[in-house]
Amino acid sequence: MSNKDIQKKETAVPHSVERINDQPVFIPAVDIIEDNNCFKIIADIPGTDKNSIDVKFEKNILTIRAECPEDSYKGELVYSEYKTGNYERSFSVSDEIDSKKIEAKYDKGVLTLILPKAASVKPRTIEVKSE
Amino acid sequence: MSISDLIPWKRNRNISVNKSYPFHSSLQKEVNRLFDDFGRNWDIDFPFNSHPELQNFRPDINLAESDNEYVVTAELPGMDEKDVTVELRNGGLIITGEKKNEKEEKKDGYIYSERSYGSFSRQVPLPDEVNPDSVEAEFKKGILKIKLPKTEKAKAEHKRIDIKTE
Repeated sequence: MSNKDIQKKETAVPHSVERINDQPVFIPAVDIIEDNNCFKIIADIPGTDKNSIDVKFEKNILTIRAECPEDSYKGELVYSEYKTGNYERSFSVSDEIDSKKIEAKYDKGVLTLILPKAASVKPRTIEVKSE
Repeated sequence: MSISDLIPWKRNRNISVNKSYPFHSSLQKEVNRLFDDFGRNWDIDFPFNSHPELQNFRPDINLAESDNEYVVTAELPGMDEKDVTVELRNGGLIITGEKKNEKEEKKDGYIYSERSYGSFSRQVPLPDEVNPDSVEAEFKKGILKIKLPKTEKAKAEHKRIDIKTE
């Protein structure tokens, strides 16, 4: 899963398609971090409830979906910079990932996904023996 | 552009919140930001304004107004009450804080980064007086919500004007 793969996936999703749900759908901003053992995807999904988050892995596509309820307030909205709606984003994941061990955590509006690398692709140090 | 367009708290009154638009227009946002930055110098002077590197992270805010109160909400994912300061000053609400940079810790491993970090300061001018003692703020699921009840005086000043007909 290189940077290029992710960017390609992003543009390939037709975001202009007609939707059944009238709620707006947002693409959450994400950070992706790689270390020796795993990839970490961190997504900003403020306002969502833990129970409404749906993380799915299917045919090498990892999809996150989350619902964000509308803000409740009395009166009228006089100034608005953000809207509430659903979040949705997909990532194409290669076979390098051990899909059975994907973990998800949610805290303070941030979803963190941990995608452990399969044992076969983890870097291995080979011991040099001397005779 | 009328003169009311230059007054920050009147500027967006006419922009209706249209739910049918799936995305907030980024151009609109950019224009708002320009106006905001322009207005900052004479609204309330804040020392961080002139440091562009501190403006990487700029939380989005919404402002709702009813007869009795203002409600300001800000999207601050990943932050909690310890990272944010809320102040009432010069007839405005000031939200300052810092979103800690996880990047610094693991610089090497970053392969993709869209989330922003850094210090921020947002100011919300409030045209009516609010009662500073009864302001409430809560942080939930990455959203900061501040309730600012108007003073009795400010409420009384809102008078409906009768229109006479002959």
